[in-house]
Amino acid sequence: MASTRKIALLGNPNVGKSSLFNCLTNLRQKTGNYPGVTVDKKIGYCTLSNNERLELQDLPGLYSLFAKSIDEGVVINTLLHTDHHVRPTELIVLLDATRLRQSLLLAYQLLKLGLPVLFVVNKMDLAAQSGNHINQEAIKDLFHEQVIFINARTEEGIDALKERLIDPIERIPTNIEAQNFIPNKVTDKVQENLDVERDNVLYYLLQYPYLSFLKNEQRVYLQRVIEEERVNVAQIMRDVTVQLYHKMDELLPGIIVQKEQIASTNKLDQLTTHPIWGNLIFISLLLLIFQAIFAWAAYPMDWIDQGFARMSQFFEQILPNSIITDAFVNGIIPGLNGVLIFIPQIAILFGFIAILEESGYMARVVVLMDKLFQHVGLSGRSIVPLISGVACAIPAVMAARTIANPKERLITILVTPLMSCSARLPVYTVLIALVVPNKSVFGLLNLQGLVLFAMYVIGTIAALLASLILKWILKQQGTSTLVMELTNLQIPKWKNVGIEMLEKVKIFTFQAGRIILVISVILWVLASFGPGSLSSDSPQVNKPAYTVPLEESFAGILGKKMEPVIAPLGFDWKIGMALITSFAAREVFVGTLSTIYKLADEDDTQGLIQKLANEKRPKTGQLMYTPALGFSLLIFYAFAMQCMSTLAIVYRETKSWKWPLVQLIYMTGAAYFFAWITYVMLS
Amino acid sequence: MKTAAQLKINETARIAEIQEGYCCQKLIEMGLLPGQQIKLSRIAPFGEPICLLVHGRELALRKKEAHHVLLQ
Repeated sequence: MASTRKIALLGNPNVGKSSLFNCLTNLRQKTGNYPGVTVDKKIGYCTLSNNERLELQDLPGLYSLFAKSIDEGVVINTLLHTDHHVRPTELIVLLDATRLRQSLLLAYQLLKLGLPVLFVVNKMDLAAQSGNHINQEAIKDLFHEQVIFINARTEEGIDALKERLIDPIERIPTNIEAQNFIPNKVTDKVQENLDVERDNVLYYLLQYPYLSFLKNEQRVYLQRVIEEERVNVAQIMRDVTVQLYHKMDELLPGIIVQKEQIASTNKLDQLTTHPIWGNLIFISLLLLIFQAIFAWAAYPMDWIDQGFARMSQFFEQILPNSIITDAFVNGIIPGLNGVLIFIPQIAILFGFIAILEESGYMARVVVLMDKLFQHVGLSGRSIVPLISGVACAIPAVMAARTIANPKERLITILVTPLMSCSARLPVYTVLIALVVPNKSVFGLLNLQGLVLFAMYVIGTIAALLASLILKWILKQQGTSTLVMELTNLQIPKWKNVGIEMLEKVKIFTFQAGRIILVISVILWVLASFGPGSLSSDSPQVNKPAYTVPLEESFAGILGKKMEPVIAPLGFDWKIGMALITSFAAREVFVGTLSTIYKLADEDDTQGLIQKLANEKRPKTGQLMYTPALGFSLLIFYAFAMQCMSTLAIVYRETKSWKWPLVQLIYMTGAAYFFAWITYVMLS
Repeated sequence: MKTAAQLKINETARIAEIQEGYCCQKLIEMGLLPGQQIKLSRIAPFGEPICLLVHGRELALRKKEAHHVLLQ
């Protein structure tokens, strides 16, 4: 039985590759992993008119097969891989008719490698619009008829492409006379030890660090050849590239008649990077996104919360009173709720990001922000995750994937949770109401409001400082270059935006969601059971067997045992317990305190504030919630990594438990330290 | 020698060579080659990145990178 044909899709960034991928696969996509690399592996399925099913792999966009980072190295590794499960059988390369010269570099490299390639030329309509006449016959000549012309936006030509794919793609005899700049002697030497074609030797020599399938001895051999024969890898890459461009420049006049060599930038476009207007436009957009995540998401979020609350009640009523019921109703259902609640915010944020990227506006943002953010080790693109983090860190951390440089991306992911997210708001509100007098300052500003604002400022400064520190500590992975193309602004293709939103929601729900669910259940166990569970005392009224009151649960006991550790911060065991349970979600802090103080209604904030205001320290009899304690707790909450969902998504985005652990330690450590200083200074 | 980092807005020039360095491969791949005509189209608010028009495309470069683009 013939195995499914695996076709890889290649092309420059911004050439319309995701449009094409979406056209061919629609929603039959899935996201996976390339080992050792954080860029996602996108696979999709396409059914042709003869009912044959193809597997399509969307490789990362790049300008040249000469990889300059491990993320880019994925492409050459996949193309040359010896494992036929990994290596595609055929390739489709997408070229941009409005940027033919740039697109052809990759095309030429692939032709020279002798791989079976089908060339697809996109944006023919745009090329015509800008007055450039493209000679389709000349292009067909160049590619031996193995080329299809499409318009991915309108899906013109897609059917012809699918028809063409029924026949397997063949290797094209390369008609480009180009030298490899590697002496024959060296090529011979490589071929002695490695079973590779002559034209591929170039890539084995220049790119072997990225070829994961090489045996160690082969790697060592290649390195030795390079050293012994003094192969100047950098020089050869330059020479090959320059030569390919020269070949292209010879052929180009025959293929395309360009109207104007050096155009001018559109006036409206100039505004986007203007010092005043550019920043104004951008800030307005940020406020819009922020408002959307905060306010618009609130409706579906409330709806989800209510739905799950009703589900809980329903099951509680119809199921018999037992541990399993309790596990289901109080562990699993809230756990599911805790996962699904993020979907509206993720969908909205990625909808906006997709629009910014698809329209080309994001590149302008990078130009605006790059210098500022480079100083602290971040990328111009870090601004979107950071601002989104003020609403919620989970979609914000996911948004960091648009950052190309691995170190900048990692730092962004690590510091974004320091931005004061909306879950901290209920905690801030209660504490501020408790210890900050409701006065006016300068007759205008409300003191409580000012303190709240100050908390946001603290979060932002903390994020930027942490970023600076991490910039110095973390090893630089290759030098960071910008050299970025600003493509023309265009109206986004809405289908792409929709598919992008869906894919991100899927990634979060299934990959981070299962971790969140597991931790929820664990926390439920800790808060419901305790050492007293197995004793023969009569069970609590109306509660399932084996469960104990909160104070006697493992969580409660842990809270009490923790007291000496957190006492320097002014905290007591009740706060300690709430800190443990609020690991599920920061706002749970308020609910837990309500439970401990035996308030009938968990949402009775005023009632809670009153109880806390009257609370006295057992040893001294003095009031407990002094400004010293209030601010100490506020500062603790500003810095502490107190959200399992964040850890889950950081794990998913960095593909390792190391970084969530680092985050947990550095943030909670900072929280402890600064809360302690605050308490000592204010008491 | 004058580099692209020293161009003024709307000034045109021709590339003499791309200086060897950490970013030269990237610059060449993006089409900045000796003999190529370029024009400075934008300067970002803090003085960088700068944007160059080359062969119908617009590229954003940091000052450090633009220093590698030597002009005739």
